[in-house]
Amino acid sequence: MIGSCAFALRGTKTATQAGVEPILRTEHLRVEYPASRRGEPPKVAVKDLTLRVYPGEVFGFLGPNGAGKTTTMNVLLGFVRPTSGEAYLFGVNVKDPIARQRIGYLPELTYYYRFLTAEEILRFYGRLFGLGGPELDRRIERLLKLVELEPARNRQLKHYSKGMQQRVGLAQALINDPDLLILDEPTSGLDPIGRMKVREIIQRLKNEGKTVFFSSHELGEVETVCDRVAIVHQGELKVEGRVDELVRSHQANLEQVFLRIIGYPTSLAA
Amino acid sequence: MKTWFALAGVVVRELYRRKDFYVLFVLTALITLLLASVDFFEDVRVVRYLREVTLLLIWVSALVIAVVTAARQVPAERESRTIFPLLAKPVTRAQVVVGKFAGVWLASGLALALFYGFYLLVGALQGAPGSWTLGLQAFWLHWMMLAVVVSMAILGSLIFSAPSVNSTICFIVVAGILLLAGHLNVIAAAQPDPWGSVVYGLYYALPHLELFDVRDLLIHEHPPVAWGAVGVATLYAAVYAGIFLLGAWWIFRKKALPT
Amino acid sequence: MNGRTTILIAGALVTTAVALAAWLEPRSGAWRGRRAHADSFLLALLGDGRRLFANHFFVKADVYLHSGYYPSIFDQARAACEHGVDADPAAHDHEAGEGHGAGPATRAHCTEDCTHDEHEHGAHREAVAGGFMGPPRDWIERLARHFKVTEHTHLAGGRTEAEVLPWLRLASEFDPHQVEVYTTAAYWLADRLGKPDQAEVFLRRGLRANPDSEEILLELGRLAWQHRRDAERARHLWQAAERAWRLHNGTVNETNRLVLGRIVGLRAQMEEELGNYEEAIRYWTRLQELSPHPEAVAQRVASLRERLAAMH
Repeated sequence: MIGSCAFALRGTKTATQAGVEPILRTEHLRVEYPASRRGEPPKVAVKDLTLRVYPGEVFGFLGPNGAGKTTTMNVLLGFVRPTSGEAYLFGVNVKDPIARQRIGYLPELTYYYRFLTAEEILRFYGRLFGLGGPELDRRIERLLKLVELEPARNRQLKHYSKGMQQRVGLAQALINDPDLLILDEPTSGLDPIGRMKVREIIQRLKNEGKTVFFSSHELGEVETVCDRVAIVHQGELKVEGRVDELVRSHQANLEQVFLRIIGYPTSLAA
Repeated sequence: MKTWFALAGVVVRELYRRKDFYVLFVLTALITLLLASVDFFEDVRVVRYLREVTLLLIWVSALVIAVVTAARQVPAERESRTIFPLLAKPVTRAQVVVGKFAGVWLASGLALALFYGFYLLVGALQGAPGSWTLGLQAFWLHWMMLAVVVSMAILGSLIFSAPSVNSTICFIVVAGILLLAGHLNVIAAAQPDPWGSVVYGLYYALPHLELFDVRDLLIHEHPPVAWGAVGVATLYAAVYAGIFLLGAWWIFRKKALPT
Repeated sequence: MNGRTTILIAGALVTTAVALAAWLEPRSGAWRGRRAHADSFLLALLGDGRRLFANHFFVKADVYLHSGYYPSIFDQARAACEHGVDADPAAHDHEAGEGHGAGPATRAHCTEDCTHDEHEHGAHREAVAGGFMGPPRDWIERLARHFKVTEHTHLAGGRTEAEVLPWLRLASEFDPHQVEVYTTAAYWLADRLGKPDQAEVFLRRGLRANPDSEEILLELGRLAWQHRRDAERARHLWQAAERAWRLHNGTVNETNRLVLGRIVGLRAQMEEELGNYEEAIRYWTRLQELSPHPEAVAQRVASLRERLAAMH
């Protein structure tokens, strides 16, 4: 069973960054969607994407709308199968569900079972990771305190505000104490206080040695928290590197670097 | 084991937090109690018609609960997007299918236990409880039948996009099987080839849900069914449920779920 | 659009709707047919379709009499193919009573030649190999027999026959013009359950819905004599029955002789029991022309003549 095989992850030897195995790896990933009309070619969402994310770093996955960010995440999470190429988490092919044993995922649109309470949702997801008993109770207590949902723990989610649902989402993403957190637009729809809290959580996770992989349109935040970024456009990886190096080499802030990379005239953006 | 059990638990919680089940139970109870108060030609000893009406209401209610709940599971998860945080966990699609089936089937069983408990209570209050053994067998066989129906509805939910379409088709198929499947061999014998062979093929391929309907035995106070036959029927239900669930998993495993 | 305009528009629409309804209502009778003048909720709701329900409930009463052992429409169709169109697939009557020509057991109409004992099996279980079902054709059918009623029994004893009553009552509600329902229910109420009063009330209800029904008048007469021993009343009712029969039939033929035969036969029996042998002979002689067993009737007439002669 998956729960009992948590640590039986298979690895493969590849070229590493300073001898460290990437925690997330894609190799020539390609994803095509069938054409909407007969005779048209298939829509290529991701073209030949090769990506590396190393343990302990905060990695920003950037791109304009329709660039292929969500599709790449869907492949990593097993929602969609790639047309060609491979993707690995902790050295395990993403087709194997055990690849997701040590990850936490926060979707952009957070919808959970409206008839369950926050505590019940966390307990449910915890059980899916093979957790139970006092350990699970401890984690639920800690997480409800972290996301400030203790007073509302026994209320059904249908009575929660959007912000509260977002916090439940964050809590469920952390229930298994993941080594890799995948966040899809984590600050989308949050007020400035909410955004600040998310940034604090990301920083805390980084301090604990966790890896965070997230996509965002808030380039100011990305520049603040991320170690490395990758910018994709029209399904292709345009650039991948450290934030400070990119900013230094382009002599501009991250937003201007982004616009330049995707070919948007920066004179208009200024 | 823990995974599909956890999934089943969510389904059971959903059923008893929704209003449908309570409405159906109250409706059944009201109609039964109303009919129990009617006397025909000043004879209060008549009980069999009441059994028949109560059992019919139980069958209809149980089918509605099972089909509607099962048909709703996967489409509702997709529509509400709860499928994404679920599948982002180390959960296989097979476990999702089995967990959903187990949840709906267990929930239907709980509802059924309540309905049959009410039926036996009404019988006892009327001084005609009937055979408790046969009552237990009737409940068990009905529950086994629901396993086939639930698995069929789950398979349908992966073929038809709208739960309403799936539910309607399931109701029609189940009603058709209950009324006609047992007679298809007679119909086939009267047909010229190749239609006779087609109907015969259908006769053997369809799950014979009418096997699990022992209402006539219960109403008319016949002796209980041989336990060997109950065992064979249970196995029969398990095989068909397995076939439908296998089909459901086969379709689900290939389905792309873009966010 | 402000509030006042909304109210004015709503008011105008309601007025228009009421005016249209008032204009349409008398004209709608033409296309709504009988339902337009229905005085019963069921007739208004179901129209003539309620007869299907009534038939179903009447058959249901027969099913209950047989404790669930009953042929489906497929079994009946198969029996019709195998034994001819007129065969009764619930063929226990042939085995028990040697061709009374009676239908399902709830039709307890008798001529003077049969008794209920021959038709009813009482507490006996009639073990017929497969009965109307025949031997199982395949393993599925063999397995299915474990979950079906396969034994041919009749409700008898412990007043279990009362179980057929709700269905007969329902049948009468859905189709008050199905005379057989009233006569069948009257038999079970009066003869088997000891409730002649209830039987009479139900028959009179049927008579209100079916004035001049010879079958109902016949049964009322039978109740009057067999349960109340009121000969005068019975005579009046049987005379009314015969008048009703003549009104509906005119001449005797193969299909209508049974009812007239019963009227005449019961009258003959009653007169004989009362010692009015001349009258009895008159009616038995009439019955000779109507009965399928004229020789038996003739013997009875001869025996009565002897008795009459012995009296003088």
